[in-house]
Amino acid sequence: MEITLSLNGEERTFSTDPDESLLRLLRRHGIFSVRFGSDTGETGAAAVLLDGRLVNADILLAAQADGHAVETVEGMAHGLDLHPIQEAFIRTGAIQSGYSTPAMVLAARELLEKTPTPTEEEVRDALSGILDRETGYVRPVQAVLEAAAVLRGEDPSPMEPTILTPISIYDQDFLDFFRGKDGGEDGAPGERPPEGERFTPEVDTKTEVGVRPPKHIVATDVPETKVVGQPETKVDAVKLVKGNPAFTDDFEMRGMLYAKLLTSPHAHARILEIDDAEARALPGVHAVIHYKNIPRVRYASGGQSYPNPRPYDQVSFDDKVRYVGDRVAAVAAESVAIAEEALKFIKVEYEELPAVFDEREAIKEGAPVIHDEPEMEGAGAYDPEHNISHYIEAEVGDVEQGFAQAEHVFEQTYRVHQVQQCPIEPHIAISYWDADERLVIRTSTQVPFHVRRMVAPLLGLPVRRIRVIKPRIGGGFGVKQEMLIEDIVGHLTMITGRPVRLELTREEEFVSSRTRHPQTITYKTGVDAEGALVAQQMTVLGNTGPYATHGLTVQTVTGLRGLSTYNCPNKRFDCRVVYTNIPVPGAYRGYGAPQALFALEVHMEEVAEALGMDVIAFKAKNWVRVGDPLDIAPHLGEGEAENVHEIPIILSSGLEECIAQGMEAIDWHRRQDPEWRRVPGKPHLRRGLGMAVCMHGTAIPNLDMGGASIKINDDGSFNLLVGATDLGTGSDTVLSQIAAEVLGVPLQDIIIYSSDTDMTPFDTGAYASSTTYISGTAVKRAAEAVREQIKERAALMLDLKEWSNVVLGDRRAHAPDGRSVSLEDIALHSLHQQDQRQIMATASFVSGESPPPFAGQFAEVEVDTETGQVTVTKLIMAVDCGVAINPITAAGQVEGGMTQALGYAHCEEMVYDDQGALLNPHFGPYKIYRADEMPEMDVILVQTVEPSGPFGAKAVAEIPKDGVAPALASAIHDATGVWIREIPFTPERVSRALQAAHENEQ
Amino acid sequence: MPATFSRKRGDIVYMPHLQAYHRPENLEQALQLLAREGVRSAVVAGGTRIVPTLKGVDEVVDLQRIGLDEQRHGADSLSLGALVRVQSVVDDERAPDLLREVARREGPNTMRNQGTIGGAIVAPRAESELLAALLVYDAAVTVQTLGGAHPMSLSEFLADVQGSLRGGIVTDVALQTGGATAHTRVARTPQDAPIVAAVARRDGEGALHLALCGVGERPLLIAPEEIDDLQPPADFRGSSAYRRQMARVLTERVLAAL
Repeated sequence: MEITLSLNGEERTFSTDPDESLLRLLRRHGIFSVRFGSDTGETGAAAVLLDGRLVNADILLAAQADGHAVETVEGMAHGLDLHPIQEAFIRTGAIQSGYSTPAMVLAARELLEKTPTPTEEEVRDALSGILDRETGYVRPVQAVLEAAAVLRGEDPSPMEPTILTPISIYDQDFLDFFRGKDGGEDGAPGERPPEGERFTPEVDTKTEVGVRPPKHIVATDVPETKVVGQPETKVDAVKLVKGNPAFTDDFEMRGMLYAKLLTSPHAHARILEIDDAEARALPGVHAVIHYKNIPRVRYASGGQSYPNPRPYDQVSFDDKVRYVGDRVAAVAAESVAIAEEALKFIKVEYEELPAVFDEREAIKEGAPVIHDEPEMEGAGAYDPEHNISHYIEAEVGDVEQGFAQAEHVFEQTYRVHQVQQCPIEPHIAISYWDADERLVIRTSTQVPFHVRRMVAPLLGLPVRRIRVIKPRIGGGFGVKQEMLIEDIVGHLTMITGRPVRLELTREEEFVSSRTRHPQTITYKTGVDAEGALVAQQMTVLGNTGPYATHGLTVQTVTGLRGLSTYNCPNKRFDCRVVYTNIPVPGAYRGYGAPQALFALEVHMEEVAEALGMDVIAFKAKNWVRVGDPLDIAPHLGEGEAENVHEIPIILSSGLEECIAQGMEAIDWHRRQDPEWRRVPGKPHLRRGLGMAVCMHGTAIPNLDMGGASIKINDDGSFNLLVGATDLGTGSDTVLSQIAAEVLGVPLQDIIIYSSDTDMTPFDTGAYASSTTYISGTAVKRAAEAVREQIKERAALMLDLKEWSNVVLGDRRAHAPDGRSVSLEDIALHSLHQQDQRQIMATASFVSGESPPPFAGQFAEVEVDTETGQVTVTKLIMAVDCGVAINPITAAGQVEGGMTQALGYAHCEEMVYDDQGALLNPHFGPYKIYRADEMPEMDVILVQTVEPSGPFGAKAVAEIPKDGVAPALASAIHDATGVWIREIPFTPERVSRALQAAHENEQ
Repeated sequence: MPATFSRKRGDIVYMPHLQAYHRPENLEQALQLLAREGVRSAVVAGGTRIVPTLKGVDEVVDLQRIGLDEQRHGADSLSLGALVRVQSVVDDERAPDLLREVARREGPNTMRNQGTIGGAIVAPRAESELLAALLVYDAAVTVQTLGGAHPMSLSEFLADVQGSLRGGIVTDVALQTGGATAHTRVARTPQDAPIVAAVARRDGEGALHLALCGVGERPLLIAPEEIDDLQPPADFRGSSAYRRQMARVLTERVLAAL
C-alpha cells in the first residue's frame, strides 16, 4: 500500500505494508534519529512528532500516519545552524550516549511550542515518555529550561561553577551544630555560629536551576590549565543532537540478512535432537545454526585481558541449555519476520532436568549439577560437581585471633538481588566480508579489541582476518563488556557470505544478555573498647548463573571493596562463586562493589548503633586516610594474572571533606529534629536521613592498558586515534581535552576517532573506571611526544639553538625571545617544505596503581509506615574524583550513576516464576525511574590532586553506583528504627520488615 | 507453511502479519468492516495497547476519521467521546481535578498523546486508576453495533468486555461528577503503576462510590465491608494478603479524606 506523509515539511509518498511500524518505515528511508529501544513504546527512543504531538513510532502503524505531518530532528537543523533547543542540549551537557537525545529534543519542541515558560514539573512531564539510563534527567531538564529562556529572548545562563567553602568534620562548631550542642543523640540541633567564625559554610548549597557546572571544592595545589578542568561541550554532541547516523544500526548494506535467536524455554535441559529441515526449507531462510553444525570451542565470554579468567565453560551452541533464554539456535533470513517464522519450524527435543536458582540451594548436596560435561575436567572450575566455579580466599593478619581479642563481635547477613543494565540501545552487531575477504564486525561493544581476540578461535579465523569496528554506543554499563553475539553474526556471515545483522529485542536484552550478580553476604566484625576495628570477616556466596564469565573477578572486587574502606589489622574474605540456572550475571557498572558496600555500610551502621556511637564518628575513626595501606589488594587480584604486586598506599583522599559537605548540603542536623521527622496531617509518614561512605578503584592495576596515537594535519589540527571506547561517558571529550591542553590548542583542533581494531592502537576497553586515568595518560604521553617534535620544528624554523624552552599555547610555538610560529606553519613546513616528516607519536600506559576515588552519599526519605512505601526525596553525592578533567561530564556520570543506583536500591528487580522464566522482561514491570518522579539530586565535586593521574585525575564512572542502597537503608532506619538487610526497598518488603520489628517489640 | 511473505527485502517487521489496513469515514462503515464474516479484525485508535498485541489479527480498522472526540460538560456531568485522547482529559481545565490526575497517571506523555479513553475501556488494565475513577463517577458506556446503540454501566461492560462489545465499538462514556472525591495509592515509585489504589466519591445524595485497583483482574467497585472477603491475585509486587491489607488501609484513608 502507499501512504503520503508530510515528512519534515516535505510531502512524500512511501510504499509500505499494513503491519509496518512507522519506526521501521522511517529508518528504512534513512531517518536514523528515530531509534529502537523496544517494540512496545516503553523507552520513547522512537518518539516523533505526529501533527505536533510526541508519539511512539514503534507502536504506530505507518498506515496510521497516512495524511499526517511527521517531524524528526532531521528537519530541525539547517546546515551548521542548530535549533536553540539543540544548542541548549549541547551547552548544558545533557547528552551522554545520545541514543535518545533526538527524542528528548522533540519532546522539548512539543512542550515549548505550547508552553513558552514551562515550570520544571512541566518539563519533567514532557520528558516522562523517554527513558534515560544515563543522565538522571538532571541536565536534560536544565537543557529544556535553558532552551525556553533562549527562545523567549533571554541570555543563556552563565557557566561559572559555584565554589564552596571547605569545612571539616573535626571542627568543634561543626560537630556542635550537627549533633546538638550537648552532643547528645536526642539533643536539639545546635546553633549555627555567626558568619565569619569558624564554621560558616552557607545554606545555599541547594539545587539551583540555572547553575550548570557542579558545585566545587577547589584544591589549592592544582596547576593552572586552559582546556583541562573546563566545562567544555562534548566533541561528539553535534552529531548526536542532530541524530546523524552514528550507531551500529544506522548503516545499510546491500544484501543484508537478519538473524534471530532461538532460546531455551527450560531452565535446565538436555537437547536430545534438533531438526532444522523445515526451517531451512522456508523461502528466504539462508542458514540455521546450532550445536550440530557449529564447532564446539570452549571459551569464557567476559571481555577481559588475555588470558581470560577460567573456567572456559561455554561453547557457541551446546547440546545442553542451562537457563530460560540460553542459546539453542540462530537463523539468518531475508527479513526479521521470516527469521522469526523460521524459529517456529526448528524442532527441538528436550529432556528436562531439575533446576536450581538460589546460590544457597545450589551448593547443597544433591543439587542438580549444572556443568556435568566431560570438558569441565581440568577446566579450572573449583568444584563443578557442587556447582562451585571458584573458591576465593584472602586473609591479612589472623581473624580468629582478632575476634578472640575483640571487646565486641557482631555478625549479620545481607542479600542483594539481580538487576539488568538496561542500555536503551540493546546489543546489536552487523558482520560482513570486506573486499579483502576479512570479516568486519560492526558492534555495539565496550571491548572491541577483546572481541576480536576472543571471537577468532570460535570462528576458526586468525585475528588478522577480523576487524572490529565500534561505532557510537547507546549505553553499555558493563553489559557490553562481553563477547555476546559477535560469534553468531560471524558464523552466519561465514556460512552465507552475506552481511548479517542481529539486534536483541528488549526481552532478549533482559533474559539472554547479562545482569548483576546476586549475593548472600555475611559480615563478622570485632571491635575494641574504643570502637576501632580489630577483625573483620566477609563471607560471600556469589550467584554467577550457569556461566562464570565475570564470576571470579566480580567476586574478587566484592572482597577488595568490602574490606578496603576501613582499616583493620585482621581481615578475611571467604567466597564461593556458585553456578545456578538464572540468566547470566556479568559485568555491571560497579562490578561487585555495590553489593559489597550495601552490606558493609549497613553493617557498620548496625555496629555503631550497637556500640551507641555516632555513625559518622565510628566510620571516621576507622576509615582509610592518605598514607594508609590497602593490604588486602595483593590477595585479590584478577585470578591467574596476579596483577597486584605490592600493597597499594592511598595517595589522595577528600573523604572527610566529602562527608562534611554532604552533611551540610542535606541538613544532617535535621536528624535531631523531631518536628521535621513527622509530616503534619499524615501520621503514617516518617522522614529520615541516611548516609554511606564510598570508595572505589581506578582501573585494574598492571592489566588495563590504553594506547593513543596523534598526528598533525596541514592546518595545525590533530588526529587523535584511541582504542578507548566512549560509551556515552564523554571519554572522547575528556581524552581530547587532555591532548588539547598539552598541545596548546583549543578543543576543536583535536579530531578524535575511537575505535577500530584496524585503525586505532590497542585499549583494553571501557570498564573498571579506567579510561580517563589509563587512556588519558596514554593520550597525555603521546601529546607530549608530539609537542617535543613541534618544538624541535619551531626551533628549526626560528633558527633557535635549542628547543627545550619553547612553549606551546594559543595554537603557536613561542620562543623565549618573544617570537612565535603558528602550528599551521609548523605543520606545512614539516609536511611540505624542509626535512619533511610527519609529526606524530604513539604512546601507551599501564599503571601499577589504582588510586581510589572517595565519596559521601546522602539520602532523604519519607516512609509510609502503614504501607511500606518508601519515597526518596533527595540524593546528594559529594565525590572526590581528583581533578575533574571536565566537571560537567564528571557530574553527568555521578547524576546518571546515582539514578541507576537508586533503581538498584529501590525498585528494580528481576523476578522469576518457579520454572525460572523471567516475569518482568519489560520496562514498567521492571521499573526504572522516569523524568517526572526523580528525587532532587545534587553533586558536589571535592577536588584533590592524585599524583599518579593525568592532571591529577582519578575515576568517577562507577563510584556513584556504590552508596545509594546503604544510604537508603540508613535513612529508612533513621525514619523507622528498623534495619532492612535486603534490597530493593519495595513496599511489601519494607512493610514486612516494619511489621516483624513491631512484633519483636511486643 | 506460513502465510505469504510479500514484504520487501530487508524490511524489519516486529509486528504480526496484517493483511489490510482500513480507515473508515464514519461509524457505520467501521461497524460494517468489523462485522465481516471470516475476517479477524481489530479496532485501532491510538494504538498504545492494541498494536503491540495484534498477533492473530488479519486486518485493522483505524477509527481516526470517525470523530467521537468530543468532551461535553454539563452540570455535575461529563461525557467523553471514545476517541478523546487521554492527554485531552489531562489538559481539560473544566474536568474534575481527580479525573485529570488519574488521566495523567494513565501513562507517560507519549502514551497519553497516543492513547484514547475508549482504548482504556476496551483494553482494561488491572492497574488503571483512570478506570477506577470512571467507575466511581458512575460511568455509563455506549456500545454501538450494526443493530443499534447499547447503553450499559461501565462495571457491567468490564465484567465481560468481549461479550459487551458484540463486535461493536464503544462510542462514548458519560460520567456523574458531582460530590467530593479522594484518591490514594501505594506503588514502588511515585509514577509507577499502583500495587493497590483506592478512588472514592461521595455523591450529592451522600452515597459512597469506592473503586480499587490491584485487588482483582480489573479495577472494581466495592463496598468497604466487602474488602475482607477479597482474594486478590498475587504477583511479585504484592502478595494476596498484602494487597488485601493495603485495600483496607487505603480505603480508610480515602474515606477519611472525603
